[in-house]
Amino acid sequence: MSLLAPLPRRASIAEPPGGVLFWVVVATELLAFGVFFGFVTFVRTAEPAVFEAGRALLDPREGLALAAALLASGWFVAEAVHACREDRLRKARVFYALALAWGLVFVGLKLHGYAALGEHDVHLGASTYWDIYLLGTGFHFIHVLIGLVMLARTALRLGRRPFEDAETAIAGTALFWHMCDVAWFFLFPLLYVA
Amino acid sequence: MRALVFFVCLSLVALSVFLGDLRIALAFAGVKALLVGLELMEVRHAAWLHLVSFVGFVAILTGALTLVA
Repeated sequence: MSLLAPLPRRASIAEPPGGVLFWVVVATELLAFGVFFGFVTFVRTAEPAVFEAGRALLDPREGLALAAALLASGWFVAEAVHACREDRLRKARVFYALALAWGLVFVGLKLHGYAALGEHDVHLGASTYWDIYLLGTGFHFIHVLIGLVMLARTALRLGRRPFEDAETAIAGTALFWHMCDVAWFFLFPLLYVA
Repeated sequence: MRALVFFVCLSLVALSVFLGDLRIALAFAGVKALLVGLELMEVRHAAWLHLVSFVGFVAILTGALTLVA
């Protein structure tokens, strides 16, 4: 019997891929992020000069690199889940290692970005743009750190100790990680693109 | 298919930077969210209600942001 059940062509309402628990979490988080994106878009329209002045300090290539790192990590997590569904645990561990490595690249790049902004005296209260930037990317960064811990825990446990609910532990944590990806897709243009 | 989603999304991110237009970048963000949701988050295998809810949420969010921007 496989560690994870193969996906049905169409899952039931009571058993979505990844489990109910993480879908409730992901839906709540996406709604919260959605409200924040609406707020940012509104403020950006109301105060274009403030946004332009703040954004001029950011390099869009940094946002591109961050998006690429998260995308690569998300791809490898999806491959790891797929390998688990085929009961290929060694392959899954390799994919988890690659996903964690790219996740850590994101963390490193973001910390480097924050340090570079510190040299320009960027801080909370400096301007509306920087308040939004620091709160938005900070909130997202915390989610990335939580996601990395969950992924590492799942990867370390894989094949060593049985999961009480493998669908939630493996596909559910992957859902959370992809949610970080989806949130960055919208944060990136709002903060980095002209 | 998962690899294709990765490369399409990466291309759209790069294109967003290259074009430098917020509305287009937000529309691309919606496309990327749908691709990641349907394929990597396995929403295409979910129940119809969940599938329609996810696609509807992304479409409404992307549409609203693109209109306000």
